[in-house]
Amino acid sequence: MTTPDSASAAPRTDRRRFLKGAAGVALGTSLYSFGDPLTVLAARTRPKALKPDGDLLYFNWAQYIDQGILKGFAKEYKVKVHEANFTNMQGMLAKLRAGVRYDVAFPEAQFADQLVRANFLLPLDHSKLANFEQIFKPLQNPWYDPGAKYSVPYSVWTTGIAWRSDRVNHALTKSWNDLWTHPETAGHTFLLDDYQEVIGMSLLRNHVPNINTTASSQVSKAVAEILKLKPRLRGFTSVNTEMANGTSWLTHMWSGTVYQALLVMKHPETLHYQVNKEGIPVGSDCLVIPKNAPHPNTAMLFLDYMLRPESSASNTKTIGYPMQTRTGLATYSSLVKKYPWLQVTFDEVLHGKHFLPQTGSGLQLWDTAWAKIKA
Amino acid sequence: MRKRLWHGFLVPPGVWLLALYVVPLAIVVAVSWATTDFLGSPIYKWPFFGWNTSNYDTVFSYTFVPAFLRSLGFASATTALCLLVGYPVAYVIARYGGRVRHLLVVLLILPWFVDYLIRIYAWIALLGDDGIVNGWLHRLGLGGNPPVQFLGTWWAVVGGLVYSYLPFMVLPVYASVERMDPSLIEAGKDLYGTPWQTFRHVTWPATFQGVVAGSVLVFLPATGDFANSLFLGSPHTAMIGNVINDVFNGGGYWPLGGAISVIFMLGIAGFMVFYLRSAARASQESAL
Repeated sequence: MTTPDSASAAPRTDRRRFLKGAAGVALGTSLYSFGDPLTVLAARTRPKALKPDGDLLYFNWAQYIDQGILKGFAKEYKVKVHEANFTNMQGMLAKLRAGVRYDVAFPEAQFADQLVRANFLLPLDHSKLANFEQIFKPLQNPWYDPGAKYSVPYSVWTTGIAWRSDRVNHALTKSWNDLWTHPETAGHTFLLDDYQEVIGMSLLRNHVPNINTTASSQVSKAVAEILKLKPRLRGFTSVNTEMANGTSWLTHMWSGTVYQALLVMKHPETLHYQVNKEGIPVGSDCLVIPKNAPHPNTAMLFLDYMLRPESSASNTKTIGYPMQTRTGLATYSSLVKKYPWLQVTFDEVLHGKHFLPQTGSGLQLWDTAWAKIKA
Repeated sequence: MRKRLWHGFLVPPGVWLLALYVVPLAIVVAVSWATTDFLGSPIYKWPFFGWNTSNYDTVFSYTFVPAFLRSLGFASATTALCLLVGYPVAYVIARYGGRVRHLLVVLLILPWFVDYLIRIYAWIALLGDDGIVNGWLHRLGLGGNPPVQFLGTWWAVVGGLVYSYLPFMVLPVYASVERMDPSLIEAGKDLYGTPWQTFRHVTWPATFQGVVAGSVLVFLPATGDFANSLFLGSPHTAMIGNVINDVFNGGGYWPLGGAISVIFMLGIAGFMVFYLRSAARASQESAL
């Protein structure tokens, strides 16, 4: 019975089984990448009572929160906070799209709009958010999430131009055109490393009021103008480093980043900021709970914790972007009392220009335009 | 039985190659022909029907030619400089290093135990407008206000690339010099060859394989590099890796990034075939 052949049969089947398993892994990997996450995600039922149901899986930019808040939350509810970071919005979206599970994520408004419309988010039970009324009234109904059904607001900012008065003597003109024409700043000018901000700013300068246009002639013209500006550019940046260390004299910048630069500069009085007459882009972040969040109760508790006045105050002080709560906005007002040009007014927040998500052929048009600018 | 066992050893690398090389590569190609849904996820089409070729039209337009050429130019300059610096270093260590030559090789690659990006940041700390070198220049009265702009130039990028990939040149050349029989050089001298003639007709051909290997190992990662240009360069030094990076991290329209990657890979593959064939021919000729 025991022939040499049958003796070797056992390892052979093993190997075959192994191969099959390995093929399964390979196939699984490819299916994972090909699969439509919408069908993968199962809808969840809402919790009845709010007790923490596990540790908090937190997903945000790095260093974009007062760490004391995370510590305080962990202590109060006796949970751990597992912090994960993304380095840009595309990275965040790709992770959520692929079905990676987080309890709370911090998308920018236009990405929140996409997630809401793609039905990726858990609806919020406002009766469980004791501090919901802390939210600045008009933002209880934000443009990206009518009725704030899926999100609570986080920070808000304007986009403008910052400059260093110790390097620049010639006055600016409150226009986006300053980036193109300021006589002293060629070779020391930076633009934001953000495709919507750069193309949108050029559209505004071209007097195109719709900063989300998908008319290819308008986008091409905006790109052509940026390419004319490019010889003056030293770089693209979305952080405050270059402004703070003097590499940059004139920068396309977010108001919150300007504030952060003030905090680290030796001579903050040399830093200035203007919003421009052709139009003021206003951006904001919010907190959402993805539908596939493993611990939705803990996430709800965290959202409410973030809305508490003391969290709003300490977070606004730490990150330099106002929280969109009554306390947050008041805290910010007093923080920037010395820098009136850094005030973010209610009028700007409510009537500023919003970037909308680019999708389909619009996304192709805009991302191709961005590649042309960067190439 | 024994043969089967040996064949069995091929399974893990085979699976590894399939799962981590063939499948991802196929996905990149598939993405390049795809369209995207509302959230930007690729919608794949069955081969040949309904393929979206518009991104290839974009790639073949003039738009990305400067970035392609910059990548090839920077990588060629990097390879040449690595050879110029790396060959003598490898030669001296291998021939005159004596008992400490292994230690010298370890010392040479010691900085590479530190993360790649940290080493690039170190260059920023050294050469930035408010960096250490500008500080020295200022103290010596040799300028510094306004500071000398080292960063943001094409030579800063090439310098960073040379620094990043030098060991890939030194190690293969070192191995080939060490493998060479030193009596060959003595023979060359015995035949009244000048040092240059001996080098040209004996040492160089004997170590040529190491030079070819080193050049490939430096050139390939250098063409695809984006970190050096991102941190040490300016908007005027964008390499093709930067453009691909910007497509994915900007609007995140994957099909365009996929199409640029596919064309870039094909271009580099063609370039490498050409290079290796002419290197093989040169090595045959010099052996004659």
